[in-house]
Amino acid sequence: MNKKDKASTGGISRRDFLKDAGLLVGGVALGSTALATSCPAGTLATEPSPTAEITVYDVSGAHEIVSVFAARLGDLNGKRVAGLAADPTKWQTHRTFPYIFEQLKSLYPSVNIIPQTEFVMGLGIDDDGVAQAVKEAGADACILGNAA
Amino acid sequence: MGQGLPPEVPWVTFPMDLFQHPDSDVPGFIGPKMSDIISCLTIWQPELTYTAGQMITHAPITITGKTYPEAYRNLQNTMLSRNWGDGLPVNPATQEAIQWMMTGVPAGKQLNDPIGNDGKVSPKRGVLTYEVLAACMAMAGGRPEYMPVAIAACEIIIAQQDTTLSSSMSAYPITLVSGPIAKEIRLSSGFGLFGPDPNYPAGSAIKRCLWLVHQGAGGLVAGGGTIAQYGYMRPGICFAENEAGLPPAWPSYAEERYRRPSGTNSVTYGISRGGAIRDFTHRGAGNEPSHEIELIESFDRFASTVKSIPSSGVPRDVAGSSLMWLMNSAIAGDMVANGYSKESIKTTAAERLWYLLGEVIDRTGIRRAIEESGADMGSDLLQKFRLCTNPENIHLVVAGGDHPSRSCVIPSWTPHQNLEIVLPESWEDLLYNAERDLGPAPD
Repeated sequence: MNKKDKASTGGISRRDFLKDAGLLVGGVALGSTALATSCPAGTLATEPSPTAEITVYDVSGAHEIVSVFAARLGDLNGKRVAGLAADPTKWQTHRTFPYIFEQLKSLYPSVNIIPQTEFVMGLGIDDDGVAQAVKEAGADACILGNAA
Repeated sequence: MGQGLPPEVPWVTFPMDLFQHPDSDVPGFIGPKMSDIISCLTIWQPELTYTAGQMITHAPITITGKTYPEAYRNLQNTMLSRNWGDGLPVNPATQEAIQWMMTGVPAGKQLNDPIGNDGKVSPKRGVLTYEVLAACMAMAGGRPEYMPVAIAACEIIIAQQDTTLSSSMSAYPITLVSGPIAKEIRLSSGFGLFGPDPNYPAGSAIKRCLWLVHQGAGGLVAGGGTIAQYGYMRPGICFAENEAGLPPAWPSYAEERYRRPSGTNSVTYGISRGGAIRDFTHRGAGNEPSHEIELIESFDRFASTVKSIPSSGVPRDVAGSSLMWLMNSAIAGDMVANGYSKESIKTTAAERLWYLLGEVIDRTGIRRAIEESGADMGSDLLQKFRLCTNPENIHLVVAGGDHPSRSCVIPSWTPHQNLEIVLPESWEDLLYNAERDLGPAPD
């Protein structure tokens, strides 16, 4: 539909306009928000607006915070620190955790260590029962590793 | 975040070299970061304040440009920089696009209603609402008549809370659709089954939509929320069984596995832990032995193909893992004409699903794995280790282009669930619109 036809008809349907603008494909108008803002009610869309806007929705979904992180301990002396191993072999907590615990004890002589071998090891550590076991062991803090 | 904790995490990272060498210098790697470890235990604070029960939501964003094409280009850049896209151009998930997709949702469902029980998609457990799913379908280039399939698949995803897709194995999702809906929405059951197809566009859009769900709400961004090393076959596959091509008296996959009445629309959603391999070939050179022998040889080719898979890893247990075997209707019909039934095909194949330990003994760790599994090494396991002891571990589906040459194996198929598809009241209108937009559906 050319400009003359648009003028003579005194207005065109939204669908015809979108088709003429080459933007309507199969009944879906892309960027309809942009065109709506450029077409005030009762006017003909003869020239595009100088700015185009596309408002889109976030697909990451809402996120519920079930619980916040526990307060930090300040001083580790007199505290109990547990370890949880996400993998008992491949990610080698048997090599890294002993070193970490040794360093903690050298800096905080009265820290108590509960090694990862005292708990379930492997992918099952995300089970609520494991967290409960760590609490029941009296841990004030827990180091999870290696790999998420 | 998958445990319901805030997105900021008190963690300390180390280079891979620490883990790749059994003699790596542990003090050398960890020592310099001990102060970080101690800080995480003693003084760390998140940058933002969170409260238990808080729901972090995200408002729509507006992308601008001097012209619409410029705004569209800026949109694509934003989709990538925010990890919302998948590397391909996306359609804008505008309010209008979402409302269009919602015409494919049963009445009574609101935009902010969660899919399934709570809408939480593992591992990140972002909440998938009808609005978010509609946005994903819009971005994927889908149509509202695809939404019933996507909704059923997402209900399974949310119910199962499976995290296999986040692991280092290159697992991928599989959506198998049964029932008349497949043809109605232009979902392929034939040639080019897994690939792009302008005449059967539903599969490409649905699998892409589901992957955007996994990536967005589920957090499966490559190298971050998912450490799949290769990610081949992702975003996954979505296809239909060729129910019209089933040999006489063969039940469909949904009838056989889930006792769905014939003609029921349903989705079977699950995961494969590995890639696809092709095996059955009819050379047609004219010098073949009898067709009967050729069929037997095809079974052995199938078996030898499947046998190659465990040598890249270890079998899970003595029973072996399950696989999906796609056989087009031409081959299935030929098998039937030569005296095979669905059951005898599976049994004949399973009898061949073993490998000689001598082929791989002491070279691939499989002997170790067998011993760890507690299998009895005293029997013929010393000679043969069975990949598949139960023919029911072979999920036989009639699908693929009707050419008498190849079938297709999808190894390590783990079906999660089969759900009946619920159609919206406007279904006939949607199909009418599809025909208006795309022309008549292919036969």
